[in-house]
Amino acid sequence: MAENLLLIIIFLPLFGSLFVAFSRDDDAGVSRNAANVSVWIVCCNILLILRLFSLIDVNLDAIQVFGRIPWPIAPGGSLTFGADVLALLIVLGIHVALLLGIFGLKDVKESQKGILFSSLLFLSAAGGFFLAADLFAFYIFFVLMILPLFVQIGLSNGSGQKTASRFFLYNILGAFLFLISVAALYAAKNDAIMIDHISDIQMPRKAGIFIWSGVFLAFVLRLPVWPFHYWISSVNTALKNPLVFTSVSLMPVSGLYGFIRFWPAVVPEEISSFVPVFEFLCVLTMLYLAFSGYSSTSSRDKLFSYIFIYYLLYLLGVFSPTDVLQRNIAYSMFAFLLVSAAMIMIVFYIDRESEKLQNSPNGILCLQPKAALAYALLILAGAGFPVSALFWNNFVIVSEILNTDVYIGTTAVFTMLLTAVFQLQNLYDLRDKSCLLPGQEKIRDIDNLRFAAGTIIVMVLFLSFIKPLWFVY
Amino acid sequence: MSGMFGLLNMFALFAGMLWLGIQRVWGGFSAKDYFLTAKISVVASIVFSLLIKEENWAIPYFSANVPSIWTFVLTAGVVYLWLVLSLKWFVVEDLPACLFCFLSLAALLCCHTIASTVNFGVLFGAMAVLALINYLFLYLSQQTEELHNISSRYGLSVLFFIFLAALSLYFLTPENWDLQHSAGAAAAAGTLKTYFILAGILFIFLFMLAVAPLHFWFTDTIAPAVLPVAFYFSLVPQISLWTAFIKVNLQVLRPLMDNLDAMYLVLGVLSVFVGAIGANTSRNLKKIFACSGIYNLGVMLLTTASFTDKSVFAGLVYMQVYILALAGIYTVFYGFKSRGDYLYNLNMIGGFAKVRPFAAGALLFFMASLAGLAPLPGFWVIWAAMGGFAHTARFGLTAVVLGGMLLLIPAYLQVVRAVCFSKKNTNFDRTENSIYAILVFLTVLILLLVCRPQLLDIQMQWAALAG
Repeated sequence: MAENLLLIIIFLPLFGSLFVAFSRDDDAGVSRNAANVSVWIVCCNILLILRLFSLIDVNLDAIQVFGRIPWPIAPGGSLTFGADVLALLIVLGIHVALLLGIFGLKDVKESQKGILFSSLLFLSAAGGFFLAADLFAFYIFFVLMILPLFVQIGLSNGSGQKTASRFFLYNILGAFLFLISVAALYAAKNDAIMIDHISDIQMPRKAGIFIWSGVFLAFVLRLPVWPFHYWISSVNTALKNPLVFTSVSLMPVSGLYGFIRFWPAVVPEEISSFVPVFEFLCVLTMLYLAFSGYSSTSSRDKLFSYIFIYYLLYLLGVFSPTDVLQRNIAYSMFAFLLVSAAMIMIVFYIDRESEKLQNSPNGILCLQPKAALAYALLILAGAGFPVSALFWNNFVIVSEILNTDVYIGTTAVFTMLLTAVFQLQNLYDLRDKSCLLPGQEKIRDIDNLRFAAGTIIVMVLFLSFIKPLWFVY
Repeated sequence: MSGMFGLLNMFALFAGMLWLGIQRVWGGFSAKDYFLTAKISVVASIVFSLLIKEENWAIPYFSANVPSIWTFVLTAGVVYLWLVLSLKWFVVEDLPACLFCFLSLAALLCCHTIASTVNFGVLFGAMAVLALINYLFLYLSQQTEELHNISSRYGLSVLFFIFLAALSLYFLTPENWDLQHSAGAAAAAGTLKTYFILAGILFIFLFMLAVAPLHFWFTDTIAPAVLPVAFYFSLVPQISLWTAFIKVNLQVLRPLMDNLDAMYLVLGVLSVFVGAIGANTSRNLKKIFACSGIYNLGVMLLTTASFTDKSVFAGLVYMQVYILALAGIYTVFYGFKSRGDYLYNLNMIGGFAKVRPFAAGALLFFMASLAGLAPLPGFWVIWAAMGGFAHTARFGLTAVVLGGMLLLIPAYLQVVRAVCFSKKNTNFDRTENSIYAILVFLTVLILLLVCRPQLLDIQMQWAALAG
């Protein structure tokens, strides 16, 4: 039962994408059918993931359920899939995030069908990646995530096509480096390799440096760390589509997850000497993002800074020389994915509405009481107030980072504080009635669907604050 | 008897050519009739080949085994698609369809001869005829002064290499033209003569396969040629020539492999970079994919260079997978049409995806396979090639292949951006149903291969590769 469920979760969006491809647009070119099919597919998958949670032992940290697809190309003759709490939480978070992204797509008319089609393919690839139990399946889905996202970026960003190419080149470079490392790992082991046992593989030191450097670069190219960050910043600043922005913002999770799986406790000895340099780069990037978020007047830029600062915080947590943080990172990241996706949905709506104003968007939330309420609650949760799982778990993660290196930990805390400050400042500005200028009669509040979605997310976050896995029965 | 039965596919082609001749003399037949005759002939030859596909047979001058029969089936399949796609052009342009169909069948016959002969005399004879057919195709396509000059240059170059090959045959003497005996005879001819014989044999292959630096004719002819002719040059002769090249290396040149290995590596690396860089310098679709072909040929050469069983199988599989993806890409090109003219320039195909989303999606899919993205067949062959490099401790070649691909990908991205993301700037003609049918067929075929690689009838090869 659980084995089949696992494979259905991976491949259901793939089949759903075919329905989306053949759905009809209405006369205005709007793909309501495609959006409805997508929503149903994602909702079904969310229910299946919740069901799968009840079929695994949530107290166990090892990958538990195995589904196999025979494939003669794969070393070992099959692709193996499995799940643990970490993988399932991330997959659930990604599904909910994309569902919110689809809700946010309601006002966007351009290339809806193509973007929805690619989003479902991306969801399928992401599902396969996070639920892969052997290295070959892990690699296949690592690469598969690139093409749908490339298409989404290209379709949503007609004038700035070069950003899509840049995204593709950066990620394909990472994929090729990873491919070389994967091939070398198979040459060393000469058998199927389970991803939770990769760190056990013995190899000569020179080969180790070569392999782990490839793996490291492959994952880090998906993360917003200077100097590997260029594609993320250029793509995100150019995007105006909430669903695509959400998908792109989910890409770094794959890099983080790769690090968690490849070196759960300690960084391999062969490249451990580079870790302090890398941590320094992380902290430097966090500081830069925090200050640029603070100085920016755009809600989207502030959101961008917020999202990527938190990814870097998790990255520092992953690089801490301990594996006790894995659960905390999983719980915190789940809450973070929900918060950030809901914020993207609302911020993009506010941004679009604010274009109707003649001047800055300040004060716009006074005209949008529902959006204001949802946005305020989300900012409180996202800033680390004790209303969500982010609060407890980030506390543990930061404590561990401080325990490892007090300077890095202090800087991380400082950037988080600055992030909270600029998010609250943004909320204040958007609610500042004194700034409101003519044009306000055209402003509409968010619709009931998005308000309900935002409210449900806040409730889910609050429940996860009390008990992280409250939905497991 | 089995051998004669094995020649039935050739008889089918020959009969088709004869019937085309009769139709031409009789008169009153349309382009559609000529194409129908050619298609029936090709289908009959495929059926006869599949009936004997499990048998190895041998008669004087010819022998066949599973790879050579698959080579023929694949080539004939590509020729069939090509005939289906090209009919419209002949109907619209009112061109000599009978000659085109006749040449198509003759080319297929030559290709089969090249892949299945075991005699150098027959092999080079067939290659000379194939070169003549290539020239005639260019002549058919001649619409510009540029193409006229190119076809003249091609004719002169190919004559030179055929002359070299003929001299090699002369030194080899007719009684040693059989592949099995020729190795000993060439070695006994004396050092200088031996090298001359080898050069004559190799250069004609390298030239016709368009391995760098002998690739100049390939890109020059494909870029200005009309689409049906470009399709032919890119896809039809390559499969058989590659199979024959491998056969000659295995049966004749194996004792010299230590020397040739280094030469193949150099030529392979050169082709990889010439192809990858060349693709980025053009905005002509046909030229981009011609350069991509040179890159892929370079990878095949690098994969096969050591001529172990594994590497040879990897090379054969690479060619089959490459041809499938390229056939899909060229099929989409037939849809790039405005007011009856095929469009070749990236500036002219902007926004194709907006009006033909499925064809554009198919193009993306085939290009993803060509770029080696997992889990598509293009990825398996790169994976197999990497396995081969690891087996022979040539790890640097992995970096060459992937580095070349990284150089090539911006050219592919140019095409994708123009087709999928640019604004529409052309009124495209209605895409024919036959194009969609072929795209669906090829897409399903590749998806089936992704799910069940055994369908390529290469389980033995995979077993050897996985070894």
